[in-house]
Amino acid sequence: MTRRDAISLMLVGAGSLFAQASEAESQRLVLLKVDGLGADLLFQTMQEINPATGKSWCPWLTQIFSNNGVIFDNFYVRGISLSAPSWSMLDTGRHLLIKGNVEYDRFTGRVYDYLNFFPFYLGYARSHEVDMPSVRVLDEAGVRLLSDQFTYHQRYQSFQLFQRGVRWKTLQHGLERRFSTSKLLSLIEDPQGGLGLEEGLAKQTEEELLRGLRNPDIFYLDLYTGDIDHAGHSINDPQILRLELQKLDSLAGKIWTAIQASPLASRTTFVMVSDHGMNNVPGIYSQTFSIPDLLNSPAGGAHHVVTNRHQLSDYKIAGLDPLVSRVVNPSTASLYLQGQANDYPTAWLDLDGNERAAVCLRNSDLNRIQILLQQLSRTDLAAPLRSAATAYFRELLDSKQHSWSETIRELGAELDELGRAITSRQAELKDQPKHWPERLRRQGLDKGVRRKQSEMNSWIEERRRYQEYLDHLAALLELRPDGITPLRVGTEHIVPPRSLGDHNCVFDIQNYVAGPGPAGLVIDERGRLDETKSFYYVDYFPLLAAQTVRNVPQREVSSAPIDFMLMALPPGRIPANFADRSSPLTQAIWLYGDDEHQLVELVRYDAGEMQIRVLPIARLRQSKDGRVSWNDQAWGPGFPLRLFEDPNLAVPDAAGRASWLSAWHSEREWFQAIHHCRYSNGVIGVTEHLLPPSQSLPQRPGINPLLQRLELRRRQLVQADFHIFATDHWNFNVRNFNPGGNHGSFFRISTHSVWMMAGPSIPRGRHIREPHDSLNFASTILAGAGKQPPMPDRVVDFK
Amino acid sequence: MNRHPVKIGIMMPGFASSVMAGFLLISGLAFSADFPTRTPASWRQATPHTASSYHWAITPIAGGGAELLTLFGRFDGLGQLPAADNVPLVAVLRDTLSDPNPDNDRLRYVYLLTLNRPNLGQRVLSAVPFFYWRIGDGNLSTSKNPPKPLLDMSDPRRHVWTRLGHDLVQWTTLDPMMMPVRASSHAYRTNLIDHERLHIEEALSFLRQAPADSTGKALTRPELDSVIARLTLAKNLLGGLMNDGHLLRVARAREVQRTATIGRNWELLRTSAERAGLIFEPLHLGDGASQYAVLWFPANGSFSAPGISLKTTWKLLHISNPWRDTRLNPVSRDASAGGMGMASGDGHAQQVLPEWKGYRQERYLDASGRLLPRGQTGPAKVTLVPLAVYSLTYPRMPLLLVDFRSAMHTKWREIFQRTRDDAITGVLGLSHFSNWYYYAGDALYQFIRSRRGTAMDQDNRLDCYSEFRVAVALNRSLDPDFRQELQHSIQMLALNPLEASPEREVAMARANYQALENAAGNPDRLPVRLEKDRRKELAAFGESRRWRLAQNTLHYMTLGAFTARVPRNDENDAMLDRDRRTESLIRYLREVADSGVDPEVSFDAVQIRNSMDELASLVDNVSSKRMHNRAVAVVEKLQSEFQNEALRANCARALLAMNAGATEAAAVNDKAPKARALVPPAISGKVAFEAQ
Ligand SMILES: [Zn+2]
Repeated sequence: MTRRDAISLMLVGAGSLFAQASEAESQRLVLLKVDGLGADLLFQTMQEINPATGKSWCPWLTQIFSNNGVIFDNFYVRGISLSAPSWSMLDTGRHLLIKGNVEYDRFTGRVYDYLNFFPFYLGYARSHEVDMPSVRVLDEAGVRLLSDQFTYHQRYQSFQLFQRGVRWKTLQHGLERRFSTSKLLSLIEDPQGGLGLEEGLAKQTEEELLRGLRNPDIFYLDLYTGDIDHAGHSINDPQILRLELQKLDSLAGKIWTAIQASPLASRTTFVMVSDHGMNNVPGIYSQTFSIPDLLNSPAGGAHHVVTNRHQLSDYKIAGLDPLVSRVVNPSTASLYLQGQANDYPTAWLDLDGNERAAVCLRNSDLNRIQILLQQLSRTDLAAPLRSAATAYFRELLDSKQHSWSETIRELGAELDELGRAITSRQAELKDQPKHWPERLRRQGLDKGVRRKQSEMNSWIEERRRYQEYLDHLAALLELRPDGITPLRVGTEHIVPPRSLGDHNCVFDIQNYVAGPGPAGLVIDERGRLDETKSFYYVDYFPLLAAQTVRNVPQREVSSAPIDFMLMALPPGRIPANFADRSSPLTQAIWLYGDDEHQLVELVRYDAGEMQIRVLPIARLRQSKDGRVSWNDQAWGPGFPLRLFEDPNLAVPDAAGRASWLSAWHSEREWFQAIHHCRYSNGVIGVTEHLLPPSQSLPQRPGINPLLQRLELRRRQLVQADFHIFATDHWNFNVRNFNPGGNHGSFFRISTHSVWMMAGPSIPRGRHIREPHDSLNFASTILAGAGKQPPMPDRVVDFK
Repeated sequence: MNRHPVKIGIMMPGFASSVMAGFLLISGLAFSADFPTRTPASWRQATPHTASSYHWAITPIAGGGAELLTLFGRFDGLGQLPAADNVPLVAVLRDTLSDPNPDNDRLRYVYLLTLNRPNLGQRVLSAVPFFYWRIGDGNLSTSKNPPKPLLDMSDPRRHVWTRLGHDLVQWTTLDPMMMPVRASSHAYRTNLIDHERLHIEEALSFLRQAPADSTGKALTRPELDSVIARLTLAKNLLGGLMNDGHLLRVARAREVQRTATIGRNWELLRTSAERAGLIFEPLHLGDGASQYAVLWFPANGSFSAPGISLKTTWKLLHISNPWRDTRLNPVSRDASAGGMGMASGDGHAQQVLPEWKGYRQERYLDASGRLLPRGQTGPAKVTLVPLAVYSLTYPRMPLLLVDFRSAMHTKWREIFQRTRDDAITGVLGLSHFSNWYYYAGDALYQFIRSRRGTAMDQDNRLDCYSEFRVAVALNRSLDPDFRQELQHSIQMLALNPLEASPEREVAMARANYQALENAAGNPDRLPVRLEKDRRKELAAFGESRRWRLAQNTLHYMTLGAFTARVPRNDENDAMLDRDRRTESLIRYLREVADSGVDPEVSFDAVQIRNSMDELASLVDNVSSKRMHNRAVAVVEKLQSEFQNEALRANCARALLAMNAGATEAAAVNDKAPKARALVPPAISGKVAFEAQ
């Protein structure tokens, strides 16, 4: 044994001694995590009687939670009803850092593909990765998972989105049981039945969980199932969905029975939770609207569009590639980037979740710059035009000088610090053993080292790519065309490739440069470049809101697929009369229905309490210098979120709903008023979804401030420009149609989720009617288990 | 969450936790009043269920003990038949042993009443290699004999052995012979198998729309599901070997697959139509969800889609671009601004499309530009030309059934693939065993082609075609001219000389039904067969797979001359009643036991207790020791699962009774030993070989 081993062993020993000491009073947590289980569907099924048995269709869930536990009748997703963000909040108990199922770094094009297990398995098999990308992101941000509150040997985690490590043995045995003789025989009898490898894996995981329950050292166990989500997406036949629920019910029954027989039965809490509901209505197919097609078209800006998967209708053999995370869908009508789809895709989309899409467009000024550079490299440009264009180009660069220089300086400093961190990490890892003895591996020590290794590798790659982006910026700033000689051909490639540059502000989205004007560059009568005529502009929100679809054979479905757009406003640029000096605005949010129906939502903190105010407005504009202005509107029907006309809006005085809606109210007041509405807790959800990382990223004492600033930058760079929400029964999923149903929106059917608990320390037969959201979950169950809740003010006291 | 599109295996819905009758309709009773009821759950706002055009009729069998359940479809003014006529479609014989107790009921023969037996001429043509046409309407003579059952539900293995036997003869005897014999025998066999599959699918398409009955008079949901599952499995070579216990699971898995496929294809086709500027309309040919769709060309519209590549869209739709078809779009009407436009003028219908001689429909659009149902008027009139009809049940992609601009399009697809297959197996004689590398390469080729949007699966294509032809033949809601167009196109698709026209089949159904009713009423016909099969059932009761295998081998070795049956005996019916009830009870209790620990949470304790008591009283006299052991095993398992003391005591009592009975039975068995061994000794005792 080396000295290092001995020290590690001692440390581990001490750790477990400590753990045992505190276990005396701590509780065991058993979580059944169900993806996409809507509370409406579940509660309804639990209430109905199966005539064949005379019992509920879900007899176990009824017995465990309805008769012997606590059910949160009004539990909602906070933010959009989408798996990656929603699980991230349930699994950490903290504000959102992950906002979509896929995120793109605007500067480098790095793809955070949170849902794709395959690259992770492959990376794990090659000893490169330890955790799912989502967990790596949270680790980097310093956010702990719920399960991290338990030591390595105290927890059993199944396969899921926020997964640490891979259970190879589970995979292997899961496969083996599928290749048993009886399975192969049944395959001959019914080839279409398939081998059901997933089923085998589920069975294996379930058995391991049941075995884990018998182990008194394990204090955290969870089992994740995606079957309900999967079924709900493809089918909306209530009888078929009920069968899925019956499977879930018997699984819950098995776990519950195993808990009762386990050594820790007297201090085990059994929890069932889902990450979102599903807009799944019998008899209505959810229809897909193709945003990539719109953005490919000249009206939409003729973008080359990046998606995270191939489109289903593309029929590509490559569509089978499980490792794909980034696909370019070229426009055949590109206005100035013909044939450059791979280098300059200018719209990056996250279409997952399907009732919403996140849109990242290349910075409008970068487009302007590239168009000017193309024009200035032409040899046939008339002299006056060249000189006007050059002048315009210089002015444009001058306007960028300040912010770009700052980016170069600040990000440069952060990268230098990252370089130092890499060096010291390299030194630290140099002495680590190549092969770990079994007993140390059982403690997860090898994984800890591998985790550091993986983080370092991603730092190296990241540093290189950020540096590349900065180099391009610097080169651009140095570019000084003389206005006489044409630029060298290809100069335009000085514009950073596969990068979107800075975020677009509202002004950019309203005046988005999508190409040169129809007549190319034009000069005005004063000999200056005519900015209006020289470029082709798109105003995105009216364009999106005006989309209609002709093929809508279902009466229940509107022919307008887009409900509203959502975008953050700069709180500092809101008209002064809306901001109070004593409590400044922390967030300002814009919801666009159409020109006449828009909302502005303002957020401030008053004595530490979050307050929200919603204003009906029209024609919001942002000027070039950043000031935001709008026309006030009176409350009425037709505004985004449809609050005014909602019969379920619970305000104290029905006649005064307009004045109530426009006034400042605390988060809780809003929650109580709106949660039964069609858009459930949407008013609160948008604040969470657009929460700036500066407000959600935890401050970590001891961490180098430059590295902390870099982490903040990383999170800021993945924020989308704006978000599109689908009308009821519409979705944006072009890669795998989900006719059964979808989620992602703020519709109550999509956000209303499941949280139920049972155990000796839980009251029996209690229904919590007060509304709660994802932020309450982890803090409450951790507090119940005798652990430190991440947000003590969010612990629900239901006893 | 969204899964990655690559999915390993196919989802199978769970089975263990759901009871046999788990498919019964929701009672809608509120179980616990303590649930939030404030907002109605919107997911339940189902579209109202329309009245079924199908119903069941019951004919008793002479001599009692069984009944014939016939599914009728009500079709207004079908063919030459008078309006609002009921057409018999499928009949199922239910063996009830003349009592109302459903536990001892067994389903037996499934008849397709629209079956038209090919005549000699058809059979000869079907043996001609590379002949892919149906000549005439089919056999015009009606037979006095009822049609042969498609399937015997109580003996699904028979089907497997028959087909395996034929395959064996083909491989060992005919394939090695000279090419003409091989080719023509192959052609004949392929046609025969296809013909059978066509009819199985036809029966399935009726049964899927059949109403289930909860009063026990007609087929119940589980019975209907098991017939559907058995027929579905009969399409696979070895499908008949699957145990009854797995049937419902298979039925549900198939239903899930089918429902998901229809939804996905519906949306794939709709979005493709949207992309290509066409109009998508679901085609309701029967009850329930629409499984066909038609694409229309808007004759007075214009279209362009700049920026988007439509290459894959046309590939998926499998039709040529109609916007470049001079018959439909003589002058280029591409709008430069993008998007689509639609002329709103009416009265132009006469001028549009002078070149197009085919069918067209005048329809209206609503204010938002969507197509209104036929018969409704709206602000904009549009002339529609049908481009294509698709089936939505084909896995992975919509299957083109009719291309209105190219009558031979789909026919050529079928002919091409059949020719290829027939040339390879029939002419060249490549076999799966010695030329496996060819088949491996071919499989890869087919996989790639199908991933790229080509419908490569011949069996599934045949199924879609089969469903479509009867659906159109029975439909009365379409515009008659349009329906005629469709019928004409379907005729083109008929490849099999053995086939009859769907109209002929429908006309035939009545005669077949009459013949079947006659046979049911004649004590020398159906009742005799039933009695024989019951004695066969008694002989096989409780026997192992190996025993069955041996019996079947013997049966086929003797070319079907001998079958294991118990001798005629007055006690047979009583014995059968006991055996079947025992079997049902064991199946129910096994399901309870398999549901996991604490079965009384999920099942009714009184029913469990009664079932155990009944089983204990029956198992004494049951004719098979194996069944006795199974009964003991299942009660023992239950005993270990129950948490409830009273129920455990109940198990103990039942076990005690059964063991006491076993000792007595053993004594009896010693005196009259029953056949247990595998081969000939087994013929002694209860079993006897009998000429068919
Ligand atoms: Zn989902």
